[in-house]
Amino acid sequence: MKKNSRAFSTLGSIAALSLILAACGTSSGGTDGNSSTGGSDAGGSEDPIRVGGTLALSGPLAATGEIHRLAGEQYVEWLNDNGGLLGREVEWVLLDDESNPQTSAAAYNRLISQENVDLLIGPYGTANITAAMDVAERNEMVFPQHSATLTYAYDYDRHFPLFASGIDSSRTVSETIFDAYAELADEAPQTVGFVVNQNPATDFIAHGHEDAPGSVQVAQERGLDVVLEVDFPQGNTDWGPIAQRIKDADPDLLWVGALGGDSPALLAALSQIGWEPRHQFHLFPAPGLLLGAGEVAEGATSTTLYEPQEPYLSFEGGQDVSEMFTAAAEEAGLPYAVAEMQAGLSWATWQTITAGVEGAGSLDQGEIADYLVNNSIETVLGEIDFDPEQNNYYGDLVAIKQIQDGEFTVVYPADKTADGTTIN
Amino acid sequence: MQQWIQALITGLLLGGLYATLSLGFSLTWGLLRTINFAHFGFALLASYVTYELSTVHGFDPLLTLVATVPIGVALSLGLQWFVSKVKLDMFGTLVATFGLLLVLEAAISRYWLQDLRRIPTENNPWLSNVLSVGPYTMPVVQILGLVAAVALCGFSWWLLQRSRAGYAIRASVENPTMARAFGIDATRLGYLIAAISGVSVAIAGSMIGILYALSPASALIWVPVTLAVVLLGGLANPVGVAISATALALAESFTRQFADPSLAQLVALGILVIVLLFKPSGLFRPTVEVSER
Repeated sequence: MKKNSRAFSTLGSIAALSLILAACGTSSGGTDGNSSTGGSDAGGSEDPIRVGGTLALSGPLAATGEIHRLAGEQYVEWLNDNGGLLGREVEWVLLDDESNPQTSAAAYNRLISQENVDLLIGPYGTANITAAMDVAERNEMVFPQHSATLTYAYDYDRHFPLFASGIDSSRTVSETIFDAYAELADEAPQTVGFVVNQNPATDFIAHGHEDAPGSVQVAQERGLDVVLEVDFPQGNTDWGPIAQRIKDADPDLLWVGALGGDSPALLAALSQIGWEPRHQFHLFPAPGLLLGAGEVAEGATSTTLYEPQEPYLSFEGGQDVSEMFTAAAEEAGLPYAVAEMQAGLSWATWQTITAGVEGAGSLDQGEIADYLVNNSIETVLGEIDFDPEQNNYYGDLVAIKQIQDGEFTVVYPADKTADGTTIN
Repeated sequence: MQQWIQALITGLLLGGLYATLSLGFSLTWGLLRTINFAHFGFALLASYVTYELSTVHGFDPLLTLVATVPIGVALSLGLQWFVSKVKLDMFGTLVATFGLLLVLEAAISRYWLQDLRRIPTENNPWLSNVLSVGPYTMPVVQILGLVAAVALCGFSWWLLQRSRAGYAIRASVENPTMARAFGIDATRLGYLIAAISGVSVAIAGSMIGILYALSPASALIWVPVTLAVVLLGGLANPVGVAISATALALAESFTRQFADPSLAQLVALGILVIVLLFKPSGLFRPTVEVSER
């Protein structure tokens, strides 16, 4: 009898857990698709055009996934308020990929085979994008994506990347960083110390891949003395020893292959041991957290492709993304509600699929792809010309921004800066 | 030499956090037979409450313990009430508390969103408050964390080994029927253990909120090291928890300082595997040996 009651209690707890999991899944998007149509000016009697995609709405990439969700929702609202696509309303069928590439691939299969979406838009995160792109390729569907960095790996001819760093991204991003310091700093760095998150995106930019040199090699080619090279795992919990190694190496330029909250944690540890960077660069930090680090982050530089300042505000949609994203983010309660690179990338990706469909005048995947490779596309990042000779990559549009007086300001290159701006 | 001593200091301070976080998990597993994965959700909630009270309402982050400790205790007591009422077995507690962890993550995600949160430096004086002794530096908040860990482990050891309540707790775990015959109220003692677990998880959570960036997914970061500490330290053995937490933190600290930082957790878990190969019961004996009934 006792055994029976134990068995029942165990079964009961499993049943309860199943219900809980089901509830969680529904609330966060989970296995049930969320769909968004935003405004309603577009229309007519035809069914809406369904655009399918996943985002990391839960899991370790969800902080940035949330930005892409808000930006995407605002774009769809803006699009429908401005007539939709081909005169039809647009519906975004969004699934949660849980920051997991396998889940992402399975979700794209579902979007195509069960949800019968008309168009695809890529997820967030290099690994998730790579997995989803395989599904898109098998189904010969156009696949615009905003944030994958393994440029050399993406030879699918209907893949359209908006992370505008050029096909040699590990080299071009690195060159841009060192050029900025060489040209603008009062005393150009002679030594550099690399501290790099092992995430594939940051690792690739820092260390490159076989024939594609990364920042470490580029620094050496340029005659900089690499005095420190340390990798750290995602979710690192103790920054003290790494800070001590930086202090011992004492580089002129601290190059942090950062993601999310890495940078403020490292800067706090450096501050605690009394070492102040002379120059500091952070690759992909959460911008709000870096600003929140206070005085120790003053002068920190980072990469960007869109900031809410000129000339970006004058680019196609630049003002819209800034205003609409900020309003939505403030309403949602995001602590840093400024539209910057991630929101800009998301908007540009939607602009690309919009331009392709409107240009082709149909939902035929081949015609959309043909239009995109044969025409310039106006986006919030600037004008883009997808080049089939370079896996549809194009020029390097990466700019360098710096925290000056507690705010991000673009400092390099000159055509992306306000007059007189220089690096500190 | 200076680097070795600084790495030693850093490891000891990190060990304080590991011990504080692991103590409650170990006590509830060893004495209440509850493998409480919701423990990590309780810590996460305490972290977010510390963040909220400091960032939005301007409280000193350490003072938020006034709120987080009662919350931690209430949650732990509530869970213990549920487990004792439903009469879950140990596997049942694992499944149910993992579900509760997911619920807590979802609730936190709904309220604070998925965006990363970190107490801004201007609201967090403890980030820059450092004690310097010669060339060596020690963040004051981590010193306080170490003191809290020693106090909690020391009190728990005293309670279990030297107090009448401790005898009663151990008796009720070893032989509940006999303990009941002697008039020991195991339910009430269970709540006492749950309350201690709640205090320790709240302190650990607030420390995490002060030191780290938060996201709803970050609770799971602490699972491997906590399991390693608990398995090495012997179930419900506060001294074992303190020593194994310190040993693992030192192993991580020296790895980060002198080898590849990305191997730090691997080294710690490697130590666990090697120890368990030769001594499957862990480095220290459980406070109460219980044959599975």
